[in-house]
Amino acid sequence: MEVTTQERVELGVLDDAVSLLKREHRQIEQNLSRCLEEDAMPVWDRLIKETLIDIKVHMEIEEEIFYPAHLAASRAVERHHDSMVEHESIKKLIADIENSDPGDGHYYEAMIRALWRMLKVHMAEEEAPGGVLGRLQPSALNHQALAQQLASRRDELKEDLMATPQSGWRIQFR
Amino acid sequence: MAGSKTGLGARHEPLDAIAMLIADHKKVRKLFSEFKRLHVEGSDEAKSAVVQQVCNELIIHAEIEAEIFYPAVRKAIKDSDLMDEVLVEHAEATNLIAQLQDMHGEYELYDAKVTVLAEQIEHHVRDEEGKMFPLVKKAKLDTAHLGFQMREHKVALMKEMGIADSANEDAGTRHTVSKSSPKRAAAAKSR
Repeated sequence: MEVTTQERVELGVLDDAVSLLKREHRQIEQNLSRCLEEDAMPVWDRLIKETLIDIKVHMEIEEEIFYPAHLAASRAVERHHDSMVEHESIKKLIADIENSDPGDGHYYEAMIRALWRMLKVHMAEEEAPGGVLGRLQPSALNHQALAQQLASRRDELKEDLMATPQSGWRIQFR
Repeated sequence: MAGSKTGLGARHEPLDAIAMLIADHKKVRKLFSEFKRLHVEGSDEAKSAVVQQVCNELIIHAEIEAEIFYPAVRKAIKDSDLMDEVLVEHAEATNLIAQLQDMHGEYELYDAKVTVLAEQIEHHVRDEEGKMFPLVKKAKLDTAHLGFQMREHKVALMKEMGIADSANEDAGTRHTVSKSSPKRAAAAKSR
């Protein structure tokens, strides 16, 4: 599932929306593994909150913009549904994490590790050759336009979530 | 078909705790691959029946693990991270199971939910069989005694859920599930 620089360059040339979303995957991976490092405990609160916001925003723009466009172009209904259900499970776990106390220590950490694992599986599926972010992209997708939509919606959502950090999923997504 | 092999049967389970859990895993894997086949060519009713069976198996399996097996293992092995991890996995699976019990085969995301549940369970099984069980064996837990307790509890749970012990019945007779039982079981889990 590791993406080589070469691949990234190639993908960056081929399709912008896909490389945008894959870049977010790498960022999320990096942040989450940082959360699990020994010395991250003192800054856990901030680190985890920010990471969870990134994950939520990423899933939201995929669901609002990329998945529907990909589904319309590829007609890969099954893949689309699998991704949606995986998102649901991830959201449920995030909600569980947000409703728990980091002071719970071990169980809290186990939830973060479970999230990390779920995300890895999900991202690997998306990035596999036949996945929604894989090499076999339907030709009808306009990646440039999608990338722009994704980026502007991402910034909007992130601003909202950062401004109201307590609202979690209860924020008004459109 | 699978009546006698995949039905919930407690009376003739292996007595050793680990053997019993591995037998459960096998049963569940088999049901999931049965679903995979139905996913392509089966009716909604056939799919729902298999999923209902998987859910019952998993609810009971998770319950005896959480109530009896895990507490004993947690005391015996020194890996509390692993024990926390499997508990989180249970919580996530329970959520999907509860959703599936309130759903029917024609629902758009139904098959996807079963697929994701199967993946989660597969991971959980690998954690247990690959990491936990070897530690348990090394720790020299009295798995025969644990297995006995687990079987007792399993029989009681099946009775409570209104599931007949079909271990010895002929193929074709699926166990009967009383209509309210899955909800009751779900309620029992979430208390």
